[in-house]
Amino acid sequence: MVKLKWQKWLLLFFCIFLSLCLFTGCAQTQTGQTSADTRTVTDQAGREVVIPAEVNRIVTTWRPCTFLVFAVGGQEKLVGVDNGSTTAPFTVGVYPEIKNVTKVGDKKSGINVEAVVATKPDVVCVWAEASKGGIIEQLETQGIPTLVIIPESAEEMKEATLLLGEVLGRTEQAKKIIDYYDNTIAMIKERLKDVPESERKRVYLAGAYGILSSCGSDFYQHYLIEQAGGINVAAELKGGWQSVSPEQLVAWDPDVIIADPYCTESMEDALKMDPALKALKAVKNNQLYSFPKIGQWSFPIPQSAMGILWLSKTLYPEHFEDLDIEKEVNNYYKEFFGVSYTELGGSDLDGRGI
Amino acid sequence: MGEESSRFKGSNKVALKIILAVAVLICAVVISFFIGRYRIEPMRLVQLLTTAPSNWLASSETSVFYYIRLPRIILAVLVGAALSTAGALFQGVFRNPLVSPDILGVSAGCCLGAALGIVLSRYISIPYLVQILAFIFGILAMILSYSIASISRGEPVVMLILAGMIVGSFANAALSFIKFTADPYEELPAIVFWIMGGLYRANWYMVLNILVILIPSMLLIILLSWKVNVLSLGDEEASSLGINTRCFRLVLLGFGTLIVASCVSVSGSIGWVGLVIPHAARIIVGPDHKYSIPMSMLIGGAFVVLMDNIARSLISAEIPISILTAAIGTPFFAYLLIKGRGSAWR
Repeated sequence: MVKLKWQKWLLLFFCIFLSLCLFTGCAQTQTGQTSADTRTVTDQAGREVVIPAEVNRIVTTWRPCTFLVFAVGGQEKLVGVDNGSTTAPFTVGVYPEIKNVTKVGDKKSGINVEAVVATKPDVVCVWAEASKGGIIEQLETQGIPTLVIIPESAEEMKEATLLLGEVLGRTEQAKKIIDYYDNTIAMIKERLKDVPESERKRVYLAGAYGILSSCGSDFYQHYLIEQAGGINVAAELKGGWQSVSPEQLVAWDPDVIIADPYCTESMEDALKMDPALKALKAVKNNQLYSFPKIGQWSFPIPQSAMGILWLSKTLYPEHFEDLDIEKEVNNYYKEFFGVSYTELGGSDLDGRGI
Repeated sequence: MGEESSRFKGSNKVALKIILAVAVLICAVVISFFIGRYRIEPMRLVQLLTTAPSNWLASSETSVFYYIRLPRIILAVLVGAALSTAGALFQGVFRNPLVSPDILGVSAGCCLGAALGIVLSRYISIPYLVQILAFIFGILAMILSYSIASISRGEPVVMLILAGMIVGSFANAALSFIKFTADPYEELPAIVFWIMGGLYRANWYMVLNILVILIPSMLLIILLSWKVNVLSLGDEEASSLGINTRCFRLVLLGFGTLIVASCVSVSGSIGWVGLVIPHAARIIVGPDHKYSIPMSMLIGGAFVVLMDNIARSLISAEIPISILTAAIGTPFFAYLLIKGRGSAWR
């Protein structure tokens, strides 16, 4: 008798759920409204997206994309950003109000769709894989236009910048910052054109998992090294940051070792104290440098022009004797962000860490 | 006769506890309606509850409630109930209180399938490929474990646990390999993110799909739960009672796997629920599976929906739910252990 009682309860409980769910099957899908004050843009996944003619509220869901919005000068339109960007030195330095912008999650911990909807955005930028997590579908059900932004290679990064410039009505600055990027790379190429292949510096980039990790040719960092005229000794690696054995590092014996901004291990400890690695050419010649940390110059963003410039000057100081890197970087930041690099707290341009 | 009436009294008490648990679950669900980052006035929400489905997209209040919040709440209840049921079932079948639903390598198989789906979706575009592959690989892992255990000639339960470990470790190795070779910009974060688990993906399509699997499986498990009692006596005794242990074990494990795989394939692996909730249920209603399995189902559903409320509304960003289930579930478990003095383990 008692057995029957709870079984009945359970059945009732599930029947309620089932009927609830069947109801939703009948629900209609939203028909997109078209009116005069909208326009259509094509995002980087090739999707045609109808957005308001004037976008005043934008949400970005991961860091490089937030930095791209800053690059085109659209930071005041941000109403929701990824978790880290409300405290990053660059974003806070340029736009202190960012501290009060809603955090909506990130690639690692997921996006809180309800929080995104609550910010009432005109446009939300998501990463390429977000559609597999259902985020794009969820936002589209809510009638919120969603743009897929893919800043991976240099070409895609430029595309992304111009797209965001168009969306935010900041095409002029987007073009300007891309021109600056292209010109910087062309200038470096011109200065280094007489350096033969055999004299190119062989660079080891110590990465996110410590000194004994590096990245191969599928990362933007590889492109940075190439554009700065160097050779990435770890080019053969695949799949982002990978561990490297000490023996492999000795076999590569790079001319210069650069620590990525993500590398938290001290080069002093890891290289100079280790008897096996002390004999490396780069350690003996003290060719150990830390990548400047403030501006995230190793991200696929236009600001990485400064990273390339810094790297080429570090690798080939004799070809850039007339270039005052500090002045150049400060002017760049003043021009595009209204604050100089030094004012943002950047004092690490000598490559010896903060 | 005296024994009879005290037994009857005992089960009456259990029935009361189960009805109470149903009430708690319903309360938890109703409270969840009112919680979320998108602010809807409580009075307004009560009005919204009667909206006809054709008007669900009429305003952003209704579309947020019916297309984001409600499916998520239902999914949380379902996943919590299913994982806890599977946990209680597996602990009974394996006669081991430390067993969790992923004992047969099911979760590891699901994760492998999902990672494969994420990588493959670059080449083939099938909607919900990730979820489908996760489900298939979860089931495959269980079939493989069961086959290995059947072929080997040892004590069946021990062999199953060992085979599950083997299959789980192999699936984990394969998963690590896929992560090693995945594209670092999109695929790798997507895989890591997927495995961590969460209910943010919830939509009606998913809810409906797993309902179709979960309801019959869970009802069947409840109807067969008295057989778990017999199985938990051990093979020899169960056989002497005329039960075909091999057959029932396979059926029960099969349905248990089915519900775990369908949960993990939509929500990723959510830790601790399948391990802790059955213990809590046993402490409340005693070791009889006839009661402890439905009880696990009820408190599991309530627990996960409450944890998910925190995950989606404490801060504007999303908190991974596994952190919450472990951080809040474990002290609760410790409390129950101390209070129950381990009495639920005969």
